[in-house]
Amino acid sequence: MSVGPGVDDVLLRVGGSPENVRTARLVAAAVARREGLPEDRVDEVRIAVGEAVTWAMQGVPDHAVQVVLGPGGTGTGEFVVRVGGGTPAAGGVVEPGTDDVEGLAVALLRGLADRVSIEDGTTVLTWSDVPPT
Amino acid sequence: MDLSLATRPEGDRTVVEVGGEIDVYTAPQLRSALNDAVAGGARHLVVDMSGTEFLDSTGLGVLVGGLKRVRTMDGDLELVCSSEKILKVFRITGLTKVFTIHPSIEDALAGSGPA
Repeated sequence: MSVGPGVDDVLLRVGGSPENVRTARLVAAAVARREGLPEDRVDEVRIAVGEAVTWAMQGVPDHAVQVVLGPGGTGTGEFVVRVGGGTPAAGGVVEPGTDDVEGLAVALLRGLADRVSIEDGTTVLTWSDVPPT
Repeated sequence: MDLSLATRPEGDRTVVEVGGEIDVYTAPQLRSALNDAVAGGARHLVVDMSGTEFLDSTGLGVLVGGLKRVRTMDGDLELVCSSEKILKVFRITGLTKVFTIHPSIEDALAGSGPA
């Protein structure tokens, strides 16, 4: 992953144990709250980061997943999460009633974040219109 | 927070109470509990998520898998959930169309019972 953390960002390296996903969620929620997101959006960040980290781990169970959380840049009013080092949550359309977990995960990412993109194998989740702190 | 699971019979239904967080780490325990209930003869399952604080796609997959399994045996699997945070996860994934979701265990157990 080529994107380094900025001065206001938090960088997490998450070992491939599923037990660590909860820790990643807790840190993500804490950073989102610090950045001024309202509680309902903090909850969106918590769920979406868990999904992205879970999915990244599927590809590389023995490797760490890297998460960078923070403002998208001064004055952008965005909160950006980059999850890399594993398998990006790519695509697919979820059919209601599926137990295809990838489809469900992608549906959650798209439903929770304002923007989802894949850049160089990194899943990038963006929340916009973050009130200034 | 670990997952807590408790299974009990209620008439001809089997209630599985799930407390805590259902995610990629804990979902296998829920899958085992549902499998054990079905192996023990349960066909009409009520998964009571009143004490569930978090649910991810892995947990959703386990619930859908359980529903599909009991349906092949003319059974059903219904949910109890009143948490807006968790209901949102069902709505985003379109699963509110798949599951019957009751606001309380009393509501789930009331009425004419399984068809």
